[in-house]
Amino acid sequence: MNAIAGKNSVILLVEDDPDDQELTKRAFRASRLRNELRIVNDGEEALDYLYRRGPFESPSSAPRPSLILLDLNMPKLDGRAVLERIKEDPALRRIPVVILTTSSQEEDVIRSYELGVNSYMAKPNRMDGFVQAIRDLEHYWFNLVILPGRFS
Amino acid sequence: MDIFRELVDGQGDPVVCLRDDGCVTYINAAGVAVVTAAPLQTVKQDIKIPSELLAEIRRLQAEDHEGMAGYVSLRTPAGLRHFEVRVKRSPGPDGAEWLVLLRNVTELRIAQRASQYRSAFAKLVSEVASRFAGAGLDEFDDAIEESLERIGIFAQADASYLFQFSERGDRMSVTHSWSSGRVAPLPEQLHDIDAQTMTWWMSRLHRAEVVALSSLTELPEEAQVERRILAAQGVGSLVDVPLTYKGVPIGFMGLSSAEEGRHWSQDEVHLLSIVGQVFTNALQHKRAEEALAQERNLLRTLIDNLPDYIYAKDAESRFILNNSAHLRLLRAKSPEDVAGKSDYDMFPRELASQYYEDEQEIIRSGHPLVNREESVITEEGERRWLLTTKVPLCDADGVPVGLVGMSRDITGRKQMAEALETHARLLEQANADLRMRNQELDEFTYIASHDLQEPLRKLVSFTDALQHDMKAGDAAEIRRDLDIIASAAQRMQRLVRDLLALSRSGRQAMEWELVDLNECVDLALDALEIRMGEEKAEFAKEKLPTVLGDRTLLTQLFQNLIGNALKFHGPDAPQVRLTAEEGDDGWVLGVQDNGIGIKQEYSEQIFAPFKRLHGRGSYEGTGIGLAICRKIVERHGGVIWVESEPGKGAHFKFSLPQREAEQSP
Repeated sequence: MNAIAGKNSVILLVEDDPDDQELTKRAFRASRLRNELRIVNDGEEALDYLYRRGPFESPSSAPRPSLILLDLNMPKLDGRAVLERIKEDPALRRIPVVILTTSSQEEDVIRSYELGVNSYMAKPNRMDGFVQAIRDLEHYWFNLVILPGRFS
Repeated sequence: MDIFRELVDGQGDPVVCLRDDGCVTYINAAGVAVVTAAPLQTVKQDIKIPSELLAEIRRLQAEDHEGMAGYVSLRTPAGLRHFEVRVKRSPGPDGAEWLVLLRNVTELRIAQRASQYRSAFAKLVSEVASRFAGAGLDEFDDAIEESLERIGIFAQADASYLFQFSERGDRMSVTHSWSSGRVAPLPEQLHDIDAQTMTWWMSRLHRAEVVALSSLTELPEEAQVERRILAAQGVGSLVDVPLTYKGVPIGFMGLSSAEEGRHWSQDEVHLLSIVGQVFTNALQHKRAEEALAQERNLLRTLIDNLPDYIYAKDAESRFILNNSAHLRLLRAKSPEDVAGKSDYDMFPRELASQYYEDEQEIIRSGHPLVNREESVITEEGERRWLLTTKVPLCDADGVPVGLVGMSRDITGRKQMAEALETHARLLEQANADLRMRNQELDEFTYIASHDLQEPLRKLVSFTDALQHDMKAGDAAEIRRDLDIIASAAQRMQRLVRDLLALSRSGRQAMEWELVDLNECVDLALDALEIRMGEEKAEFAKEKLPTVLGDRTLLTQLFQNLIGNALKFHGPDAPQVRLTAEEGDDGWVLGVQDNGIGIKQEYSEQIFAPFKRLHGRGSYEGTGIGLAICRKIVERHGGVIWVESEPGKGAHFKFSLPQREAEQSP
């Protein structure tokens, strides 16, 4: 078993669209993932969460996520900026980041990998597809790959 | 008596004793020498007094002018001699009644004649010379003809004439002549004859030798042509004197006589030489004047037929010469209209003083002004562009005394260049427009593919979810799915509507007019009335200006900005205030609120289409309102920006640059 595949490890979803949040929650439910899904509404909130600022000051309100699902197009600070900040920061860069977005533009894909994203996924249109994608994602990141543990 | 006789015999002057009947009773040796060559002793009784002498003696006897002197010229063996004659009644031997005394005054008479000739000669020459001195060029021919006649008569010749050589000396023409009638006038065919046909004559004249012939028989064998021509005219003798100018033979003049055997003396040669010199000077003067006139005419024709403006000015920049083209430019009817005038009389003061200063500098420095582009205003007020070169005009010592100007009208070229430039600018503008449209189209495509995809995707996803939830029979979930589907569809609708609005705000033709912005704001407030009431908004405004613009677009601009101020309010009721400041380049207008404000780093992107700073949950809208605002301001030539801090409200400002009415498209 994977060193980080703790039963209650947290997945952070950064997503501004309430419908997409709802959709992701349903997909998680449907795929019966045991991981806890935490949701923030935009890039700024994501950084506040990761750095435990503002409303996320108490460690219990913002447990360090094992995986970040990041939308690209968001108001204020968008996904690209968030990704850049995470990968710049030695304390955060080990957290795998998966882009989950509607954009399948080559430019966005290339730019994301250049910034050090770990995976890039286009949101499937159909519900079944979305559920399957979430399952595959969980299986891959929490069962297959070996990631550095939380040794620090 | 012998002593007396010896005395008389030895007398150098002739002495003659006569009887009443004219018989000579005595004649001394000198007398014999005068009347006859025979010796005295043998022929004394037979001596015949020459008739001219006897006639003079009889005249003196009849008048009884004893002691009075008479004169007689006698042809003696020694030649023609002139004598003074005195007669005295003095009875003597052999019945002599009269004593006749002759005194040889030949030398005296010659001296007198010479003196008379010289004074007549001097008078003639001076009259000829003064005839030319006062004559105009057009009188020269008459003056020469008259002078030829006078010297012909003076020299007792029958013809006088003037020949001139051609410039190259290979041809000659008789240009002026006079004839007494005893010699035929010089024939026409002596005009433009080949000098080669009279080589003997020509060679002598070219060597500047005088040709004097007492008889045509003196002409050598090789001068057959000359002899034939002269004989045909009835010429018996002639004298020709070459004319030279600065050592170059230019022709000859001569006298001829019908008389064969006439001896031509130095006097005639001298006369011809002196008058010839007068003629030469006159002819050279005439030639020079004609050449000058010709050259002047050539230059005048040249400058008058050039399309460029050519003019000369004196040291005070007053016109002294203008070619036809320049006169036309100055609307002058004749050169007199502008001669002596300056640019101050022709052009506006400012222009004239610029020219004047340029020109004075040229005259002062001696440096030309080359290819300067300058403009003039014609009398019709039309602006013409000239390419002008002005060079100093110097006197013989090289001191500038004025200037010569040459100007080429390049208005056509200039206008073409300007038209090209305008064209290029329009093209560049059109290109920029096109680039902007392209960019907009790209943005639109991006928006169509992303922002329109979003609600569609929701429709698909939640339709799936709905089906799933219906199978499960979960009523609450079903209701939730339907809400999401409905709101996605509405969003879709609104997006399409806003996109159209954005597109229209950029494409619709603008109707430029003077717009009172207060009216625009009133219209915008009418449209926002309900929300103003709901939000319990306070509203204040300064007096707004009237500007040139599109009424509908400006109303929409205010409506969007005031709408935003109402929408993004903080915990307090919104306070909206309109501001207006007049700047250097038109007006800066503003909409200020007390709302949530915006971080500085987002102050740019909020104006991009569909850029939303807030999640859909917190504020309504598609994120297109400010994009439309920017478009409207840009179409009015202005810029839009925001001054704000989070929590301290926002002040949206936009500029409307001053526009001149005629610039409006």
